[in-house]
Amino acid sequence: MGLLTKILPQSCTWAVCLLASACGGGGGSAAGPTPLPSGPNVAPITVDSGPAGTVNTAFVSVTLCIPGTATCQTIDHVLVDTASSGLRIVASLLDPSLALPAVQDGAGNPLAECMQFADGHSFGSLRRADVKIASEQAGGIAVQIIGDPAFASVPADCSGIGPPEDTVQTLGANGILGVSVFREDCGAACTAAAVPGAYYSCPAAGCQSVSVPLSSQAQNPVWHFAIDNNGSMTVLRTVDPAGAALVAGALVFGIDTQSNNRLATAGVLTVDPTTGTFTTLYGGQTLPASFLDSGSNGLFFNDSALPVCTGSIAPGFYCPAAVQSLSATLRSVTGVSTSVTFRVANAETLLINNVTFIAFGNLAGTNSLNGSFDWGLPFFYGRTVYVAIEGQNTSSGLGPFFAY
Amino acid sequence: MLVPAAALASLGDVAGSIEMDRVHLMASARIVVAPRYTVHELQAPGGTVVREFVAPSGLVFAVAWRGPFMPDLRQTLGVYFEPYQGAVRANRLSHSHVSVSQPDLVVNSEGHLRAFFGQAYLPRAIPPGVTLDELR
Repeated sequence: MGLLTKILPQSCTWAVCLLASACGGGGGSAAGPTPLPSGPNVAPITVDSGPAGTVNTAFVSVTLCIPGTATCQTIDHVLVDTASSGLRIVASLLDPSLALPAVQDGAGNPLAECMQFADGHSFGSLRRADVKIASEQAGGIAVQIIGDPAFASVPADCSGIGPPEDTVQTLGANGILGVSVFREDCGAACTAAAVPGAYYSCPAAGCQSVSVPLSSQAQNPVWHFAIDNNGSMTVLRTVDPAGAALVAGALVFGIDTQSNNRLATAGVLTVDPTTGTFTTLYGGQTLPASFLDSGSNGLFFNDSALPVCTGSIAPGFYCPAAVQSLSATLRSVTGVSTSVTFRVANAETLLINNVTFIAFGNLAGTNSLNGSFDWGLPFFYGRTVYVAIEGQNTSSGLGPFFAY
Repeated sequence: MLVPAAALASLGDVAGSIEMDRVHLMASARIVVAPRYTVHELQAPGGTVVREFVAPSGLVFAVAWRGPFMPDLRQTLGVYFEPYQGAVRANRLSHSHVSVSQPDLVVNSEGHLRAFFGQAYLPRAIPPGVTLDELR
């Protein structure tokens, strides 16, 4: 997942810092040929500047309840992330009355997690909640409370990953709704051994790395729903080449379970069942660690022919003199290939031209390791993208796979 | 064996520190000899492989990693960890990408839980004839 911001410089922590967009208003459109899906399995998606002034960030609202009770709180502006699993909420947003019970180890000690990102860590407690999104409910699942003040001491092997991302500003959202192809965030690797920088048992004396059973790990809520539980589908409007101030969309639960989530003719892109990745062929490079990532705000890939922005507005992003029309091939782990075309515009021009715009379908950045093509939110504009969860059955077979 | 983490520098340190890395990471190790450098390969318990590139002088001039979990960068970057953190804080590119490019330190890190990879190197310490593509 990823973010960059378009906010007041003095409060900016993300790469792209522009003038304030407080003047509001403004042109730019996001359109779609058909009405967005609706129904009890549909949560509206909004792409707006969010609580941290980010661009290309897709948000939904999620409700957490004390299990089995009507004591609930709805959190807005939770990032939809197809590249991670698990619901994570920034602790400071939760009302003190929402006393979610701890997930415990066998000795009754509370568990905590260090969620790892390439650019840092999010440490916090694991708690159980009834999670409600649209009319779907996942009962009593493990969620992570990031920056939980009751777990203020971050273990050294967690903080050693990189800087903390435990506030709305550093996370770029009020929380993350991870709806990837995996049921849990870590999976079997964290059940087999105590992995440093992953899960911890936290008695009063301090936290120690532990192995944890799958059910104690942060859960992708979708596979816990009573129905529509084999995956999800994101629908986002297309965005004008110059950008848009707001984009509407829908997060639809289930694949071929209702009339509004038909797989139809979408092409299935199977992924590596261990890593969730597929191969992208681009510019002579074979990139086997590629992924579809609604939580990343750009297309991130390596192309030495594209000039990198030189100013302070968008470091690390591409700034071609003219819009580039490019293509890549996505190859599934079963060898099925499809071609995708995309455009890369000058990131600085996009961000400067209209300060109210926060959605761009042609924003791309560098990825200098030649290992992955991160298909971020621009890929999702104007598309319906399906995420089938591992081990869950669909009309096109068992997950994990993407389809679009 | 308990050793203060701050004493366990690797990038920019001499090769002897790799043994401390190995102990700290509870890792298994093997050594691969290439024409212009030696690679010390450590596999941490979670399965992530960390490769440390050692110049003929003994200097660790690059580290690279690949695997399901992030390595402990405080350990593998050593004295460069704090400058690295400062650069990330000042210029967040994305949760799934880090690109730090300074005259004396380059770090490229990417991916997500279950599939991370990255490299860090000291541009001024790369032995002649070694290409960046090798440092992975």
